[in-house]
Amino acid sequence: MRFTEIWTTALRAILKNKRRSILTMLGIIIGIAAVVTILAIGDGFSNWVTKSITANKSGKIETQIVFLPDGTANTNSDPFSQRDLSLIEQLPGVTKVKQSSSEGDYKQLNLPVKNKTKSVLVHFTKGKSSPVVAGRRLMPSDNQTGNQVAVIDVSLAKSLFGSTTNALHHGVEVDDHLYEIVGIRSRVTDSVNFSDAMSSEMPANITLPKRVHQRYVQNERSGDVLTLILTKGTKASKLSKKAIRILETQGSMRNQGDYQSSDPTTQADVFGKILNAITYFVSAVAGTSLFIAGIGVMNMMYISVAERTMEIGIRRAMGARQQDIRMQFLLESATLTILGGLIGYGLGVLLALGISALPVMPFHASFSLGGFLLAFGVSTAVGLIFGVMPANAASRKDLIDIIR
Amino acid sequence: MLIELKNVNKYYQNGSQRFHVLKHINLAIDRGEFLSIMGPSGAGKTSLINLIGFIDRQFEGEYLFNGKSYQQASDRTLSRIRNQSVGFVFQNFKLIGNNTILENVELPLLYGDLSKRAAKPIVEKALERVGLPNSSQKIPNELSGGQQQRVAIARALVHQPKFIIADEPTGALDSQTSAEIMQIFRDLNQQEKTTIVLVTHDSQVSQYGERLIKILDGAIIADQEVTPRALH
Ligand SMILES: Nc1ncnc2c1ncn2[C@@H]1O[C@H](COP(=O)(O)OP(=O)(O)O)[C@@H](O)[C@H]1O
Ligand SMILES: [Mg+2]
Repeated sequence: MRFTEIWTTALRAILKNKRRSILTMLGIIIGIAAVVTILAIGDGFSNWVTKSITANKSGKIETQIVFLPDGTANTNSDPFSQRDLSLIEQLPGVTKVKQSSSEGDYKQLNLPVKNKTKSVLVHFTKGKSSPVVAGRRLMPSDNQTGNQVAVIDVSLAKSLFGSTTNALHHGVEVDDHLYEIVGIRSRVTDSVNFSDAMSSEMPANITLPKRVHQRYVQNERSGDVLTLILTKGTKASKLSKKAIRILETQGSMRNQGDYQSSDPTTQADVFGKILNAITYFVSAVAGTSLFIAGIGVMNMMYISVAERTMEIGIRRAMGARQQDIRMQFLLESATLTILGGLIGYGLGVLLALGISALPVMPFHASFSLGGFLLAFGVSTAVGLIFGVMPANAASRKDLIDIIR
Repeated sequence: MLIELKNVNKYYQNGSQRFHVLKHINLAIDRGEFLSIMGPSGAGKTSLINLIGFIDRQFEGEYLFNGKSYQQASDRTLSRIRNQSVGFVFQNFKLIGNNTILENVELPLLYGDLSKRAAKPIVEKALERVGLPNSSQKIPNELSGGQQQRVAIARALVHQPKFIIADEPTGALDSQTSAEIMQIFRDLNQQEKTTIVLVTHDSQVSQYGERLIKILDGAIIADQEVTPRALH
């Protein structure tokens, strides 16, 4: 018989027994859907990672290493020596090393105000502070001479000292150190006014001279960040690991603190590792599901063969060869699992789209021809592998026993 | 000779017991013959024609078809012979209940490598011939016993086999329907010169043939010509 006719026969047999066919397909559907979902999300994730790495200014790959001092650290010494820098610069894949500070210009602080804590924004400046309504501004000279002074805003002054005039020449405590209030600036609100927007400076409740603050608290943090600029194609996480290993054995401050890599791509690597673990888990579950589904298919095919003993006999008497019968049942089994695979693929696509639509997901699922072919191939293989034995059993039935 | 059986013996193994079902059968059937086989139930008629129809190969002795023995033939060869040379009408119709009439009757053509499309008009013609036009989309259960037997006959003749084997084709039918069915066989034999081997209980039915064989306990006890006297 022609292949297409055998296949039509097989398809018809499946459709004649819809409920049983669907129940048998369920395992395939679940297994394939799981695989497709995890593949789509994994692909989407790796696309996102590649994009976020290469989108980094002018397509350069960067990674950062931070020095975290422990209590015994000598706060006057540089976290990275010149030798540390050149050691890392010599690593293959590193084009340039830059040293900078992790210290920012702003800091969120919790301040006790009348038995309550209030969250305030602190701004560290090296230059002039914004205009004041009372007292004076901070000047660059405050940084140079190390004046322990501060400018606070009207509302903070009122809630701390009752009025703006009371506040002047009182102290405000930031990171365990008292700063003399020398100026009061206009009220800081959430709404951004025009002049603030022009000066690209966020309105802060407290403004301090940056150097002064660093001297007390953040001294150990100056120059604590190394930025490694890498050649294209290098894996940031691998290189920063290498660099850290060198620093841990040869770094000038290795006995006074820890080195850690800190960059978005290592975060992505962690996420990637979790995703990998999930992928393995889901694959194992899907594999088990497919295996059990395969046994279900085999069972159903055996039942189908038993029920259709007479049909097989009639077909054989009409000239069907053993291989025709085998092919018929094999195609029936494969068609069943391929149908299940296609349904599972559709379900997996929907699931992946649903998951990537969740607000916590930073990326979109990505679908590839490879994923489709995998789903198709796996479901076909399950049908063929688990259909072989029933199909052989059908083809080997003795004609005389089944025609009576 | 189309069919030659030479000293054929057949046994059924029932547990430890060996049952001798066909005993020293010698039989020759020529092309174009219309042979009836009669005998009581259990005499071995079905066993004999299954053997002739290449359904059963478990026997001793010699079976020559067109002068050739197929006892050592491969499954492929035997399937081809069944497909090209034999038309079966089984004892109880044996239609595939899940399939339409068209799908039942087209089977010999499809296994002869015709496409469904090519088979369809041939099937329609065969159904017309047995008096069942426009029924190809029905399923067997929607038909009466007589109609189902017509379908079975259509299936047996659709591929124009060399000979048709019919096992009690009228056994379950009333005498009016029986006569109509037998007329189809007679036409087939006379117009197309198709060889027909027909098993029956009914002496009335055996009168349609030109030669009658009687079987008792697995042995041929009579082989005679039929005189057309009993026909109306
Ligand atoms: N496959 C079989 N195994 C064992 N005994 C069988 C088998 N087929 C038929 N028989 C026995 O062989 C005898 C002849 O059967 P059969 O050829 O069907 O006779 P008939 O068709 O003349 O009624 C019967 O007694 C039957 O019970
Ligand atoms: Mg019988």
